[in-house]
Amino acid sequence: MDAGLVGLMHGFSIALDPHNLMWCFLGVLIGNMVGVLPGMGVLSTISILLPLTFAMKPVAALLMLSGIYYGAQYGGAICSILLNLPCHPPHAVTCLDGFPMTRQGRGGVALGITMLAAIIGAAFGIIQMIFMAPYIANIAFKFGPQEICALMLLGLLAGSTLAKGSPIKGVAMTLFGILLSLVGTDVNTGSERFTFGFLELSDGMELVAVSLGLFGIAEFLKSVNSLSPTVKAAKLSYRDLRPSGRDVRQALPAIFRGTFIGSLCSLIPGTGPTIASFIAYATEKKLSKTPERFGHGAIEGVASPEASTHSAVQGDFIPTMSLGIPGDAVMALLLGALMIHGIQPGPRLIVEQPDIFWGLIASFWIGNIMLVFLNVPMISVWVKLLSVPYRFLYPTALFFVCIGVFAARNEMFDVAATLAFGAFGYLLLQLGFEPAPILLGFVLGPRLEENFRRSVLLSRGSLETFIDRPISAFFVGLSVLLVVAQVYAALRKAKPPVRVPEAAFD
Amino acid sequence: MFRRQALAMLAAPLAHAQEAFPTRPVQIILPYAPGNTTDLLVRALAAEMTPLLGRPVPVMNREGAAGAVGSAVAARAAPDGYTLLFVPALVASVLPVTQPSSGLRADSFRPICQTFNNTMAVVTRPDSPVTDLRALQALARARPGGVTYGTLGATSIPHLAMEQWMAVAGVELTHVPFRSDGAVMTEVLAGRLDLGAIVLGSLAGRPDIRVATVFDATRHRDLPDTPNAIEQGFDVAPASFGGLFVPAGTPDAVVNRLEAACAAAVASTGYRQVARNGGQPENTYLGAADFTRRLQDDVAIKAAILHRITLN
Amino acid sequence: MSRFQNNRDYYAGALMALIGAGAIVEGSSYGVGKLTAMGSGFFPVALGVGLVAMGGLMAVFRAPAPAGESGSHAQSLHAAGPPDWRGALAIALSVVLFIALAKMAGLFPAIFACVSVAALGTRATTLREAALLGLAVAVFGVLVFSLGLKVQFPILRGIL
Repeated sequence: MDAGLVGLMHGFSIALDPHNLMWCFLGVLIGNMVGVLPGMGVLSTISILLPLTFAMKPVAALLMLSGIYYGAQYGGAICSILLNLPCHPPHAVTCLDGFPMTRQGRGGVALGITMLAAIIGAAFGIIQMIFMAPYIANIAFKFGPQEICALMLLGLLAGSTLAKGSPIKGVAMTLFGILLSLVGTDVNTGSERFTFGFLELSDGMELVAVSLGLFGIAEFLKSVNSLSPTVKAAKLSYRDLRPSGRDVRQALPAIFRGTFIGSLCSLIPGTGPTIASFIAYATEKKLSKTPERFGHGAIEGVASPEASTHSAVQGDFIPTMSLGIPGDAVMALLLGALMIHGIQPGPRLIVEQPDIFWGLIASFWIGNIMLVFLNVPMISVWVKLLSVPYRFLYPTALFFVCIGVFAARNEMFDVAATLAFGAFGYLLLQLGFEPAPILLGFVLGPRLEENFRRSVLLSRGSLETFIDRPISAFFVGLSVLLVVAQVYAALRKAKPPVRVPEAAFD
Repeated sequence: MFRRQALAMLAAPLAHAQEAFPTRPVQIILPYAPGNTTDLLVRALAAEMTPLLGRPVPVMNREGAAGAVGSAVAARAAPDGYTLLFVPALVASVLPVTQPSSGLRADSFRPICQTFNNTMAVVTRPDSPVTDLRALQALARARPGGVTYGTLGATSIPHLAMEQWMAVAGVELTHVPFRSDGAVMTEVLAGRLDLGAIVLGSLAGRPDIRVATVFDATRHRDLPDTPNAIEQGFDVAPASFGGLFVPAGTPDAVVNRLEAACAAAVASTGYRQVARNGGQPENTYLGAADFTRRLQDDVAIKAAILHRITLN
Repeated sequence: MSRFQNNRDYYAGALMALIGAGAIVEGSSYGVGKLTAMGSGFFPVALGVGLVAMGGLMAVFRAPAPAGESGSHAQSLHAAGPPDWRGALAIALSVVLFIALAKMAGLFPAIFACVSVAALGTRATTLREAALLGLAVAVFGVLVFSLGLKVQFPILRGIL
C-alpha cells in the first residue's frame, strides 16, 4: 500500500515531465481521433506508428502508444451509438442499446453516460493496477484452462439471450458464432478448418468484418428506402443532451457492475476488453429486473459494457506487463514495443523498471482526465451529425465501413466478406433472428475451444477435471443453474398459449 | 540533354544494369507484425544496409497466416533483387507443408545470408524433478504419455524441437499448445504443465523459472550451468535460424551484391548491439552457400518430423 | 400476413439445420477423434449437431406470428416488408466497385464510385446530388486516409 503510493508519486514526477506529458497528450489525441473515425482501427494505427517510436526514449514511446489505445476507447462508442456501426470491437455490444437510444432522440444522453462510465471504469482500472499488480501472478495461477473454459461457458450461456426474441434462436445464433470463430488455423493441431483454400481465411474471420457486416451493412439494406428512415427519427433537442438525474441513478449501479466485471476479466490473463464488454452486457441483462427493456434503449445496456471496456483496457496492462500475456492483439503489439526498447515483461518489471511502470500509471490518470476534457464538449457536435439526412449519411458511412474493414489488416478479401455478412445478416433479420449473439459466440468461442481441449489434454480425457477444481466447479454450477432456470421459465411460459405482448417498449 | 540521358538509360545493356544494382529502393518484406524481435533485427539490418547499397531499404510488415501471407507476396515478386524477404527457415521448411494454400514451396526462395539464430530451451519449475533431458527421458518412461509440455502452438519450432527430441529419445510426451511463450511459462510455474519448450529469448533473465536444457551444440553464454542437448547425448539442436531471402530465379550478380552488403551489415556494431539485446549468440552470420546448405538440412529434418506428427 | 411470415420459423429452422449439417459433414473430414485425443473436427461436429437440434426445436416451438417481438434490429422489420431491390443492388454494387477500383484505379475513383452509387440507392437522391456527395467524400477520404493515415493505395493510379 505504502509502496504503491510512493511509486505513484515517483510516477507522477515522470509523467509530468514536459517532454513525456507532450507525448502522452499526442497519444491520447491521436487515439481519440482514431476512435471517432470509423475507418481506422487502433491496431493498424499502432502498427503504423510503432516503428516511428524506435528512436524515442522508452518511457515516452510507451506513454504515447498506450495513450492511443485507451484514447481510442473514448471515441469508439460514438459510431456504435449514433450510427449502429460497431467499428471498434470492444464497443460492438454498445450498439444493442445505444442505437435504440439514438432513435428515441437520446443519443446525447447515451454518449454522456459513456463518458461517466469511461471515467469511473478507467479510474477503477488504474487503482486496481496500482494495488493488484503484485498479486496478479497468484490470480493467473488460479485461472488455468479449466477455469477459463468454465467461465467462457457461463458467459456464452448467459449471453445466448443477449438480445430479445426466442431463446432457441439466441442459442442457435451463439452456436453459429462459435462455428464462425473456428474458421482458420486450429491452434491445437495447426491444420486449417473451413478455409476452403483461401489463404485470407487462415487467420480466421476478422471481427470487424463480421460485426460491420451483420450490423452496419444489414442495417443499410434494411433502411435504405424504408419510408420512415430510422435515424431520422432522432430529433435534436438540446435539453435531452445531458443525462438527467434519473438516468444517472439508473446507470450508476450498472457502471459499477460493469467496472467490476471489466477489472475481473482483465486480471484473467488473455481476456481482453472485448470479451469483458460482452460478459458485462450479458450479466447486466441477467441481473436486471426488467430484462425486456434491453435492446430497446436501456441505459444500463450502454453503461455497463462501456464501463467494463474502460476498466479492462487499463487493467489489461497488468497481465501484459507482469506476465507477458497480452489480452488482445493491441496489447500484444504494446508488449512488442516494450521488448523493442529492451524492457522484458515479467514479474520483476515493477521493481526493475519503476520509471516505466509507475510513469505509465501516472500518465493514465493524466491522459484520462485530458480525454474527458477533450470529449465532453464534443458530444453536442457528434449528435449534430444526425441532422444530416439519412440518404446522405448512409453512403458516406458505407465508405467508412469499406475502408475500415480493409485497414483492419490490409485485406480486400475482408471487404467482400463484410458484404456477404451484410446480406446474410439481412436474411437473418427477415427470419426473426437477432445477430448480436453471433458476435458473442465469435468472441468467446476460440477461448472456449482452446481451453476445453487443453483441459482435457491435461486431464487425459476426463471431464471430471471441470468439477474437481473449486473455481471451475463454481462456474459450471452457475451454468447449470442458468440452464435449469431458463428451461423452467420457458415451460411455465409455454402453458398459457398467448405470450405476453411486448409492444409496450416499441 | 535530359532526353539523351533517358535514352542512354533505356538503351543500357542488361549486364550494365546489373552492375549498377540497385538503382531504386530495395524493399524488405517482414511477414510478421511489427514489435517482435524479428522486426527489431530486420530494421537494424535495413538501417545498416542502406549506406552500403546507396539506396533506401524500407521494411514492410505484411503479417498473416503465420508468415505465409507476406512470404507468398515476396515469392510472387519479380526476381530482380528489389524485393527481399526476412524470415526464419520455417518459411521454407514448415509452411509449405502446413499452409499448402499459400503456394509456398521449399524452393520458392533463394537464401542470401543468415543473420539470426534463436535457440530453443526446455523450462521447468525450480522444484521440478526434471533437471535435464536424461531426467526427462526417465520420467517419460515411467509415465508414458503422462508428462505434459506446452509450446506457443502446434507446428511451431519449439513444438517441432520437442517432437524431434522425442523421436531420438524414444519417449512420448503430451503436447498442450498455447498462444505465447509467456502463457506457457505461467502454466509451468502454476504447476499445470510439467515443462515448457520456449524460444530462449522469451526468457530474458527471468529468475523464477529454471532452464533445464538448451537445444544447442554449445552452452549458452548467459546460462553457463545449463547443459545442452548434444552433451547429454541427444543429437538434436533444432534452432530457429533465418535471414534474408530473394525470390527464386534472382540473378547471381544481384545475389552476390546483396550478400556482400548483408555480411558487412551483420558485422556492424549497430546490428551487433541490437542482436545482443535480442538474446542472439555472438556469431550468427552465414553466407549464401552455408545458409543454403543448412536450410536444405532443415527442410529434410522438418519434413520427417511433420510426417511423424501427421501420422500420430 | 404473408405466407413467408407465417412460415418464417420453418425457414429459420431449415437454415440453421442446413448450416449445422454442413458443419457436420465438413467437420468430420477434419477428424473428430475422442476425448483423450480430440481432433480438429470435434468442435465443428459438436456445434453442427447443436445447430441441427436448434433448427428442429425452432420448427416445433414456433413463436406466435410476429407482433412486436424482437429487439433493436427487427424492430421496424414488420414494417419493412419485402427487400428493396434498388437499395440492395446499389449497396452491393457500391462495395464491389470499391474493392475493384481501389487497387486498379486508385483511392479517389474508388471512393467516388462507392459513395455515389450507394447514394443512388435512394429514390429521393438525384444524380447530381449523388455525384456531389461522392466528390465531397472522396476529397475528404483522400485527405484523411491517403495523406493522413497512409493507407496503401495510389490516390489516382498512374498520376499520384
